[in-house]
Amino acid sequence: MSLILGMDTWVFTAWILTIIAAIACVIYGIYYEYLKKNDEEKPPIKKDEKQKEEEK
Amino acid sequence: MDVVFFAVFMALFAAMFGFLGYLGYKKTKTAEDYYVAGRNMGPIVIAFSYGATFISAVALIGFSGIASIYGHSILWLAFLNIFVGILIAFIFYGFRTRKMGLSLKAVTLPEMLGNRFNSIRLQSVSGLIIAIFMIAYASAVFLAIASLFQVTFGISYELCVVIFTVVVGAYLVVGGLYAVMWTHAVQGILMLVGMLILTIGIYAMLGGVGPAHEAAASLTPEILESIGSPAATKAPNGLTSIPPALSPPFMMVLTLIFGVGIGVLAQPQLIVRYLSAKSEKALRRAIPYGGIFILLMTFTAFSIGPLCNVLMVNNGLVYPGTPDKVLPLVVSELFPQWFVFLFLFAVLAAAMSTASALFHTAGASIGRDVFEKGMMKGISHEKSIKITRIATIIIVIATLIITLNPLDVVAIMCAFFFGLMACTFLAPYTFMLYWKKTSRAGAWAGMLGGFIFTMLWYALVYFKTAPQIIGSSLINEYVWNMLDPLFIGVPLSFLLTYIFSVLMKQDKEEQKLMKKAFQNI
Repeated sequence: MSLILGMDTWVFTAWILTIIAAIACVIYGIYYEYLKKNDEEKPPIKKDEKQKEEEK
Repeated sequence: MDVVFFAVFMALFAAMFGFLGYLGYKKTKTAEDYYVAGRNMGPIVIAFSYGATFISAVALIGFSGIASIYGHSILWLAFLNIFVGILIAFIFYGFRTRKMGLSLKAVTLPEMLGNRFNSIRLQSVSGLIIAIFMIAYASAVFLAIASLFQVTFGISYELCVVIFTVVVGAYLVVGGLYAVMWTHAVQGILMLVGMLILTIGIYAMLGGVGPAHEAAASLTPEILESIGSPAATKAPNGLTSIPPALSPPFMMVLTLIFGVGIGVLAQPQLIVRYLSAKSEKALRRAIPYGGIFILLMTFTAFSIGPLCNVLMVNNGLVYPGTPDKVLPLVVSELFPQWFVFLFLFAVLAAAMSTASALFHTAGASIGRDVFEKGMMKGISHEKSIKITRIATIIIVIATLIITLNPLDVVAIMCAFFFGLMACTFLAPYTFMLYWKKTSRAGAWAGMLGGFIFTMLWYALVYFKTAPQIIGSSLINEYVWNMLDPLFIGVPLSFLLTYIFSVLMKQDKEEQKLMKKAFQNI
């Protein structure tokens, strides 16, 4: 039976998936922290439009 | 010298945690402060507290010992610990739990169920189930510590457990969840340092990842038998391979993987961490910290477990008799003295963190869910905290008594607890969060159905427990008697919750509460 890093295919799959899962946690954090704009930070477009309409 | 060192470090531990307990006491003004740390916790403390609660001495010592017998196939549990225990748990359960807990003004899982389905009895019964079985789980945690002390120092473990219990009980009772979560942050750092050094040390001794695993793979059953390791028969395909499908070792690994891996979703002591978050953002930010923390805990512990066999063979050591003594034996024989102390206190930190969370949750279950809501309606916040403090002290003492009369291998008990909680609460908890039509009858049916089935399965069928209770398993057919109740109990509980919710619909009061529960979701 061929071994990868001394492990059989099923065990190696578990080994690599564990690392990938941890990386996914970090990527999730980075995405929400730096890449995805928070709803609270989004410019309140609708409100501005409404205000403009009201001003008119 | 050992005893003096232990006394000095234990005194430092006690002083530091006592101080954090005092700070928690000063900050605890309301019942919400005591139960959910004022719903004011930030991401790092949440992540460390969640991780330190989740990963106990059972995971570090018990499961690395189990891995030394069943091999690296247990790494599937490490994967589930992160994928299910962090990603799925936080994203699909954490955010909603926090929002619904706020809307329903609930501080425990039973209170969420009770407030959502307008049933104090549901709250009290679920609180009672949690408290009783948490005592068993906490005793399993103490047992792991006892094994460590026995093998490493030869110090009377009874004495150590008493000291340890008093320290945990003191800061917990005084400082509430603030003290528990702050101490978790400190304990988590100690656990991280200890496990990192241990893992690097073991891999370095064996020449790196590849050579270490290859050395483990090359251990034949004859070699393993020569050191008395049960791995000779429990890992028939070798320590770095999956056992043959449906063989007894395969079923055992499957039981452990799913019992703990899936069971994590419905653990009341972990759910409290979601409720303590100050915002959804704090929970989101906790995910990367939590993922890394669990990686450095379970992945490392399960990886080095099988390698302990190689080290034992290379250094002429003999299997110490039970799996939970394998890692302590390797550490005490092959590592320098300073690390033995560090490791000892890292495991002690792991045990203390889990025990304090269990005691806090069990105390809240008895004090808040059973007594305050079930028997003493309308009492003041001060009285509520007082009752919970008394309940916590009783639980600490009960755990101590059970620990002094140990029952079984620690990891099995841990798997029992996680599986039982999953069969009992996962279905009503999930339906409560996601399905607006879930009714009180559905929640009762799912909870009791799952609970009764699991208890009957453990008592009458499961090969590990049935022989101890009724003499022999009622179903002696292989595979069935090795099947963890979780595989049937969880689907059954989901089915019962759904069917009873459809058959016995919500009344008007329940509908009103349902709208309230979902108002922020």
